[in-house]
Amino acid sequence: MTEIDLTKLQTELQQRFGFATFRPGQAALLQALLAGRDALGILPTGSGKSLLYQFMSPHLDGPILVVSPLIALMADQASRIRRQNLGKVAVINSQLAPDERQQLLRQLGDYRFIFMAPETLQQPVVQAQLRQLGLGLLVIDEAHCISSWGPDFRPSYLRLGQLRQQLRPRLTLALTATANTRVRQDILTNLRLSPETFVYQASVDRPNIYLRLQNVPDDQTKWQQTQQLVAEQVPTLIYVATRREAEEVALRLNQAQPGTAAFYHAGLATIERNQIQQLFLKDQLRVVVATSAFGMGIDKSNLRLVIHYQLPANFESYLQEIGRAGRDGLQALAVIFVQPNDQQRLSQRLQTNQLTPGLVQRFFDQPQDPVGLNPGQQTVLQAYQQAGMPAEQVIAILQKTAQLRWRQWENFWAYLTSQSCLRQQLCAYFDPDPPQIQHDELCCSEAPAPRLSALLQQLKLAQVVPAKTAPSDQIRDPFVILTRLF
Amino acid sequence: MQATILLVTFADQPRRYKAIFYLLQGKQTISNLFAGQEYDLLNQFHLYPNLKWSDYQASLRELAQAGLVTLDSKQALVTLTAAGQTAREQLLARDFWPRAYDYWRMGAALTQWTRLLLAVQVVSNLDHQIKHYQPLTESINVQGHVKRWLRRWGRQGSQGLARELGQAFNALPPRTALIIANSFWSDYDPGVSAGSLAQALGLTAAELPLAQIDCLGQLLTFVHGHAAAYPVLAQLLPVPASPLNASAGWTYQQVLSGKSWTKLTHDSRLKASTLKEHLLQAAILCPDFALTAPAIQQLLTLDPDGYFSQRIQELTALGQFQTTAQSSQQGGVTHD
Repeated sequence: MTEIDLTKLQTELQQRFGFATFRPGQAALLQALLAGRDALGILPTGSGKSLLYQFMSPHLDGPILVVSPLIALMADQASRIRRQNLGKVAVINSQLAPDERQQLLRQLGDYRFIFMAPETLQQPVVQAQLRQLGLGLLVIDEAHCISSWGPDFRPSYLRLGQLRQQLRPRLTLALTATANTRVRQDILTNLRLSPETFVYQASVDRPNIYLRLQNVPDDQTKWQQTQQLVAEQVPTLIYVATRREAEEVALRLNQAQPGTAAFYHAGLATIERNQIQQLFLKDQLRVVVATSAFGMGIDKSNLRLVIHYQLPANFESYLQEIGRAGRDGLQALAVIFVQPNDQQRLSQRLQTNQLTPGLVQRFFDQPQDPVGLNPGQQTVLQAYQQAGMPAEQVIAILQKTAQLRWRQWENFWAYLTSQSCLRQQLCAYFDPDPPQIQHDELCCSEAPAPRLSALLQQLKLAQVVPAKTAPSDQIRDPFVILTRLF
Repeated sequence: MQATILLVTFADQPRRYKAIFYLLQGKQTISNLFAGQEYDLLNQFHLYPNLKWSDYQASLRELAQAGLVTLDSKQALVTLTAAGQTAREQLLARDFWPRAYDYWRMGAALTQWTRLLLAVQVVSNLDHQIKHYQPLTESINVQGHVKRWLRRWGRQGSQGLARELGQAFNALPPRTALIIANSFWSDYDPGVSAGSLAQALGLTAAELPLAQIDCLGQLLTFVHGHAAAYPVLAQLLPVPASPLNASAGWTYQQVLSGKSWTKLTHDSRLKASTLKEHLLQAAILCPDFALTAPAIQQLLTLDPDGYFSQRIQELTALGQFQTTAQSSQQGGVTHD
């Protein structure tokens, strides 16, 4: 890129988005797209991936189609585009009533941004409509879902390469936060991107996030230390494994200090989820206790503390989830609790979720009678079936991914029980060319040294950004509410 | 879902759990409607439109493991145990079950609730000059409804909404007003989280939405009972004129007009079996069903042992027609 080009882009960035400078990778990826090249961006969480296609909007002839795996993610990104008034947005997903969906499809030409799940895109009527529009840009968000070597493999992503060729978008942009070399190659191959595709891969290192392993002997100690962390009075996100635990932990925190916390999981209605996001973003709710459903695409820049109350599913999820902290670039802390029985518990979980060849074959023989399968497993097998794969191929893929899951889990457990620099290990696992980390007192540590209280004193999280949290999380008199609202 | 909530739909006598599942989900077949009538769950039709069979099954298993129900999987029956009956009573004492809401009189609860909350968000944002924001629902139907409502009322509507809500809160029980008002939020005032509200009310997160539906039912009953004094709310939250859908409404209207069964089948393009289904729907859902209308009497006489006659006999045994000797003028208006 020439100096002039960069200056022009920065001026546009300033005028349209109010940012003075690009984050690493953004300018390079935009330059490639503006030059007519397809691109793959592997950028850490919080590095502004969605800005890329938002920025491209006025530079394109046709609309932008964003394929996204999660309803919550689509809704959140759509919401941000609406708030910034960047163009009309359509979100087409399974939550729409059939008539609403038809209406949207009929009027698709009116929209600048179209969000869709990969399953929706596979419907011929949708494809026909999109072909007519002539897409300016096809964005494949969370592109690592296309790789069976990735932890979030989605069979419905497999057909995206073929669909891309049928839709013939002028440009394609694949985006992900986590991709090792193998996954990166899978993305390029499965999306049928040309060798000229521009690839930008940033390091996963986030020096402003202090990494802390907190080994605890039992639940009681974990709870006490969680309270100690929450007492820091900074915006906090606590990840738990299940919906029930999210509700329980939030309840216990509120019993200790009313109005402190809310729970967030996929079981909540859209209205409630939106409201919790609003409260959290506006600093009127200090703690959110969430399952992995929370966070994707949610940009709360002043999140200072991320606690893994329970272990995430894998290394990749851990990386994504801690990446929500400190997006403003200021000091943040990521604490992960590890208990002695975690290894056994997670191994068991992996084993329970494993699909045996017998179960897969039975499902393909009798899909109407899915005995022995939990709802999650049923969904996976249905997706494979809908993607038109025979049972033998599915069994082979699942065996391969099962082995991969075990290896990923072993790597993650090695990290959780290690004594060496955590940041260096993260980079070694995810970066193709890992940087040499200069370990210092603001890098990482494993309990017991230094003590948690000493660490909190050292980081002074509450002083990083002056506390402006004004909790409104107390129920009020109905007439007070009406006066406040109107 | 919170498994124990299902206890409210079960009894100490065996009930068909599949029929209850379809009732809660809102699958409208004669068989499910009959079950709803028999189990006194008709008002709770469509209470959980997104309920999944796998989740429902898991909840049943959980209740059985806890000794609260016994399951007969062969006949698909569920029965409350003594412990289950006690748990059911305790649950009902927590006062969250939506007794005041009636799907057939009021329409889909989620749609009405979303209309109300969205209108509050839109008007509050408008009042505080907030122009760019995410509507709290993605539903185009609800967004369109609120847009049309606001366009019709203009500035008067936004002022009217606050005034009528205030008046309604004065008239409704304090707990009802408290729950409704504390469910409101806008981009100016984000309100309280559902978790905090549930905690303050001593309810679980799964019980709160049911309590909200109950309160909504009370609000709708009040507003439409005084529609002239509450025009803004009445138009924001319209209720169906009839519990019957357009097609069944037409059939029933023909019966009410005095047509014979022979003439009705001749005039209609529908199959006789479909027409009978429409009339059975009307028999179940219309409180003053025209049992003495010529077409109905002709049907009962023509085939006294047939499916239609048997169902009518069953409904009679359930006390459905005790007060309905005369035909009503209800029916024939489409379900909103």
